[in-house]
Amino acid sequence: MDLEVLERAPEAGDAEAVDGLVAGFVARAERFAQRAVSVRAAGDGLASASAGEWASALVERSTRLASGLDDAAGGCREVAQVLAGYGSALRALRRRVLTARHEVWSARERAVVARERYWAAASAGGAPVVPASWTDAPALPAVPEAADELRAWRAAVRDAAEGLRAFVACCDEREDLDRQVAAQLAGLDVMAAYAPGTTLDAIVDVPLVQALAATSAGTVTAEQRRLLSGWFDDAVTAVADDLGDDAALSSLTDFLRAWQGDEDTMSAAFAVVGGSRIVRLLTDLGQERVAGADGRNARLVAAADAVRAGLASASRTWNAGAAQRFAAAMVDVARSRRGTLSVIGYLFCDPTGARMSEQLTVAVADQLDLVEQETGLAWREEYGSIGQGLTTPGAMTDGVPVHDPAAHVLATLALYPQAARDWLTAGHGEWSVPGATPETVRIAHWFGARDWSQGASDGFEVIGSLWAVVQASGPHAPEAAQVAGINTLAFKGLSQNPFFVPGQVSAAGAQGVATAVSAQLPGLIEVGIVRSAPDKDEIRVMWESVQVPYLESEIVTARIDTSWVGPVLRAATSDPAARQTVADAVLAYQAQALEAAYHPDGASPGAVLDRLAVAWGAVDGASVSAAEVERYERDARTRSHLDAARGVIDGGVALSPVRPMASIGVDQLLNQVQALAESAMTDGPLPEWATTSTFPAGVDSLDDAFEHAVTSYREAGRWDREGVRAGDTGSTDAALVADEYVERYSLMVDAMRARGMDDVKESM
Amino acid sequence: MNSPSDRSPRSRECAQAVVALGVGLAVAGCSQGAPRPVLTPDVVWDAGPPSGEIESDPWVRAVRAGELAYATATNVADFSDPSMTATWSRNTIVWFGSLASGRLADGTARVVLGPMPFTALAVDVEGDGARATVLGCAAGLATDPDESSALEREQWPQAYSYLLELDEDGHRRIVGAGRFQEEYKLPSGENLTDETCADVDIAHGLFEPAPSLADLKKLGSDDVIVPEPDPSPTS
Repeated sequence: MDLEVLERAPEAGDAEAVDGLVAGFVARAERFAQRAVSVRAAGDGLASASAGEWASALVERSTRLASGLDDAAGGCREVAQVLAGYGSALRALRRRVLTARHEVWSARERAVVARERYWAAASAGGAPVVPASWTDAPALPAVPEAADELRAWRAAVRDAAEGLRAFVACCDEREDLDRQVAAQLAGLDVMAAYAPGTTLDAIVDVPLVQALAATSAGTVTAEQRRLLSGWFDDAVTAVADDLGDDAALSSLTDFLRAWQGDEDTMSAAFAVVGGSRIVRLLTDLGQERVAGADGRNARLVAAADAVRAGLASASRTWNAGAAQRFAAAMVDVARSRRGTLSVIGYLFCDPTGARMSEQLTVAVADQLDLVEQETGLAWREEYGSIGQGLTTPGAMTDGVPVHDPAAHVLATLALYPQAARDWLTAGHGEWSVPGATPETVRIAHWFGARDWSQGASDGFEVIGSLWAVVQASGPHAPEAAQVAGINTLAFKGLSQNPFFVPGQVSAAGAQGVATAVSAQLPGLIEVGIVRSAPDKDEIRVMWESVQVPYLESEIVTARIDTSWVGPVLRAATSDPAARQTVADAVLAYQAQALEAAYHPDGASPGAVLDRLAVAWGAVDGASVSAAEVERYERDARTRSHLDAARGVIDGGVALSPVRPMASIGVDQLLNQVQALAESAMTDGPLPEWATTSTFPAGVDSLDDAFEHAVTSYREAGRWDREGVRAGDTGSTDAALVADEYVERYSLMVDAMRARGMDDVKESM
Repeated sequence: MNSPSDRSPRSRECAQAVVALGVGLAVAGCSQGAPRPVLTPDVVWDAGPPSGEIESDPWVRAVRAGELAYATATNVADFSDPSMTATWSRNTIVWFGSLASGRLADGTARVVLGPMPFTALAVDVEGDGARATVLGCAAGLATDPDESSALEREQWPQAYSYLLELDEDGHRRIVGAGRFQEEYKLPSGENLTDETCADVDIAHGLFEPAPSLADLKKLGSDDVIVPEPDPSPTS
């Protein structure tokens, strides 16, 4: 009897671990099964959103994919079944092994005890005792008296042998079990490829539809992107290959409409197809437009609209690098293919329905800037461009002029004010003192050189509104300084732009400029109107801090040379509504300044009246000058007769179609001065009648008004001489002081008119 | 002393260098007609040139060289000379060129009678030694004509500062300059303010011979020359 066999361990193995494996495969099977369901559902969704061959291809692909997933689920289920059988066989085997071992050991104990008793009985009967192993029981008793003991011994040895046989059987069974399970597992395909977390997962976890349904940015793998682009690519190619294929066109449109809300899907799709193919496609679509083919045109326009909406959605997930790549590719095509530039304009011309992201807008603006700085010319097409055709399915009208894409790109940029500020100054820059001089060339081009005239573009509408939008900034110094820096450069640029003249500035353009000027009026009056930017060190810093009469702390403002103000104000006052904006800003300034001059320790009344005189003069001079220029241009166009026009210009102020600022200002001044004077004398709240009272009868001219104001401040004990330019005559005559203010007003009117015609004549 | 600065011929690059720099700026080497040599005239100082230990500081010397080059360049409307390009950043030069062009267009051109009167009081070098601020008092440029208002004249002398950077080519360039309105304690213990500057001696130097306003006004706004852009535009 070979007891060494008991050293073997047929019960070895962790059945609990096998249970874990089983659970894992069951779970995997469920996951694959669920995915197969969602792939089928997504495929059905795609099919219903699409039409034609492309759609059936989608269904076919998703069906194939779902079947693969079903197979994988089935494989996992089989593995689980095999492993589960193995686990329970292992458990049963362990019980039998324990029993067999126990059987052998207890039989051996019984045999040893029986052998001792047999020997004792044999010895008592006179037989010699022959030592032997417990397994070697003799066949016959040595003496008859020992026969019972020998029977017990032999029975015990038989039991041990029986146990040993059972144990050996267990060993054999284990070997067979292992062999069988290995064979079963090897027979399953899924196991051949399976190593958790590697190949199988990778293969099965990359369904096309998962890419389509990807919900978070950055999770799309290269493989997914490839599959996804395959679909979108095919659609774009199908349309481009046969522009007459309406089914392909609608399947592309339907696909985009179905998925345009999913930014990540759009992002991946557009990034893969790329900027150049997108604008080529749109240019193709635009060229397909045929007059009269309304139904067909409507489909083309709808497809373009879906592409634009998809791009807007896609662009929202792009970082600067992705946006720059896409923009560069678009502009690259536009450099060589006619019509594409207006397509870029088209993409940006619906900022409410399809607003391109900040990143893409900045990227395209950068690209346009690059090209225009290279050539120094406005880069655009003609009215009636291809992009124009995409804006409407009906007859082509002037509509939104997309032929000048910069207008739409910068209009979109204006929706992102801080990005606009940073773009204009080519980066954040250093806005402290001392700080590095910012890049100035960009504003010099877009404000100072570019032709935005009504004839060629939008009449300075976009540049005006961009300028107005960047005015609102945080109260903190760096932002305020950046805005002031932009204003310095914008004033300098616009004042030298030969196209920035009344007649070429649209009403909307004038309004934008007027809004921008009004926003900076208090600072502008100090630096630009009352005095020029410091002359004795050149304008090395783009901004400075100044005291405004009615404010306690200084404000940051632009450094404006007085010669820059005329052309800008002239444009801002060339339209009645825009002029009203500026006039309202002056009145608001005046109301605060006049009141502040009544407060003890408040503003100097002399300085305040001086500022009103020059502010009125600036607005009136600019308004008259604008009217002169427009009249001149009109006459020059209709009569081509310079001398006749000049005769009319000499009519001067009488030409002005509007009531002078001075007149409006005087009304308010007199009302307010009287009310404030009453208040100062009674030292109480303003009685209601006072705020509406009219000035004393007989005051109906500028000098009377100033005289009245001086007298009024003097009576309130607030009069000083600060701000009056003429030397101190020692005169207490309010009329003489008033004359000085009137003189200031007149000088400012003349200064504003002085060079108004020069620019016009140069540019004509 | 009066030597024409080195001007390398650039006519071959001219064809590619038609770059629009705002309004009507000629790029160096592309202007029509005969080249205008940039001569740095002598400077005669009212009471001796600026002196003291601080004048030997390389950052202060860069400011001196820069102001001399600026005044010289302004008077001939040519900002492309190496004396200018080695002392001011490209952004500052382009901006000066654009202002000069605007003045010629507006008929408000002026000549600068001497370098900016400036007394250096402190040099504040940043940690890595690649950037520094030179602080002191400036008295404002003397110009012909002098259009400055009484209000403006009252603002000088004033606390003034220059920000400079040491570039890879070894030149220290002024990247920004202007009135100093922050807090700064001078080595003397005083704060640098306009009031402090009222008591500081500032040397005034005038070009000899004086620059000619008439000659400058013969130029048009398109005649202002700025250097060609770098192949890789930086500051």
